[in-house]
Amino acid sequence: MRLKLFRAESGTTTVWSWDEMNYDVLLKIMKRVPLGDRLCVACLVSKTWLSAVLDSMSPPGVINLKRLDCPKFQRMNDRYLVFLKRRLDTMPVDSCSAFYHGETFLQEYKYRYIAKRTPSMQKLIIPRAVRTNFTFILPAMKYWKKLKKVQCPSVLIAQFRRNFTEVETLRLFGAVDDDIATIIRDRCPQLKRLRLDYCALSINALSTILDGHKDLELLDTRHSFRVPDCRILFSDWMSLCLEWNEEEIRRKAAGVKVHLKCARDRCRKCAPRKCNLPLRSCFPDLKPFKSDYRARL
Amino acid sequence: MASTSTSTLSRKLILKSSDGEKFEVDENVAMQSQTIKHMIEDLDDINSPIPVSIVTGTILSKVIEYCKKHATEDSDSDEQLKQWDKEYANNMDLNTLYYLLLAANYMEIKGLLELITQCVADMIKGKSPEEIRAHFNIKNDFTPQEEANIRNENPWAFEN
Repeated sequence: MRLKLFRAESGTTTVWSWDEMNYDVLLKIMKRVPLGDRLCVACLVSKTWLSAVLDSMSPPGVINLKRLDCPKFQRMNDRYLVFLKRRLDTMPVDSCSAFYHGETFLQEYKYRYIAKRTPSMQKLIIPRAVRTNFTFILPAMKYWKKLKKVQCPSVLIAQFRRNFTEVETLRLFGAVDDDIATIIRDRCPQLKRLRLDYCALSINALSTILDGHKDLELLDTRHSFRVPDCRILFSDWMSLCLEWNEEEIRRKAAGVKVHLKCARDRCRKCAPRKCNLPLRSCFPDLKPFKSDYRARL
Repeated sequence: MASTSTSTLSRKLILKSSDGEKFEVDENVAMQSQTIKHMIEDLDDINSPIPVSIVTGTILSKVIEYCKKHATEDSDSDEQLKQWDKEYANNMDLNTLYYLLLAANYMEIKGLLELITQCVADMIKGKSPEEIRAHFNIKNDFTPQEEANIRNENPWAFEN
């Protein structure tokens, strides 16, 4: 009864333009539209809708390349990059503060293009799945000097030692040799949280790092292991794990608020190390490398 | 909706729409709106009407219909409730959906907002830009050049 009345009422009024819909609500609607429709159709409706499509793809201030990894999404990759660029072009310089890389690599000049327009980038997250590969991000590093939170292959820090002076949270993967440990000790004065889980550490690495960072909020050394020479990571030698200098580390890490450790030899995740390649110990969830068979976008 | 005591179940609230219409509802029905929940917390006199200032009576009655159904969800299975939701949304015309969205957003009723946004998203799906503009009464405010730019597949070429 009420419904009928309602219909009759609205029948006499004109339909409201949905271009004027509350933007937050429009954004909520857009997030429920399949990506294909969003990137190929909804973006062409009007300027407001175009903005909503752009904003619906990643939260404000975030560049998310992880989307490119999704097999279902591959057909849309070029469109997605078109929109990513449009976003960079239309937003004020510096409105992006987080960059999530996935397993799909872009061509070099695209990283440079992104980084040039985001000099205040604070958060750089590279997945462990890229392993020790770091050259792809080099064109961007020239511009990113205010990083606060970084997850990256350890070699990156050796290449760009000046970019980490403001870093507060650092997670590395791969091998941490004496050189990298010294950089962490001397060049990262703001460091509060350090994660070295699954890292291969040179004999003195941890001790060196702790010399400069006695009162970290968090230190994570779970499943990390000590090796005589970090280069063995790339050889097919059987790994030669050394005993930990537990006593020394305990003394130096006394001021660390939270120190996450595993049970070393008794740890289930560390145990298979003895019969495996060292690289496998650093990257236990090693999968076939997507970029091995996929061209750069 | 879970209630902490039987007395909360029986409490009544009066909601007042923007055009002055009053609705008496059980507290647990009204509490599905986070906005109202917060308003009640600050309210001294529970008997005075609670103004829902941007929502008209007609829309508020639809909102209450939804909240009542979902306040007593014990009686229905999930499947039945989903079916009810579907029919509820399908029976609305576009203007009603427009105002329901604004109401659900303002009143912070998560379930209703999800239901209607999904319903509208389904309408967008599969249509051409022209069809969407016609359906939702939207003017194309792009110049032909701007439109061509958006259709362009490779704007990164030759740029640094």
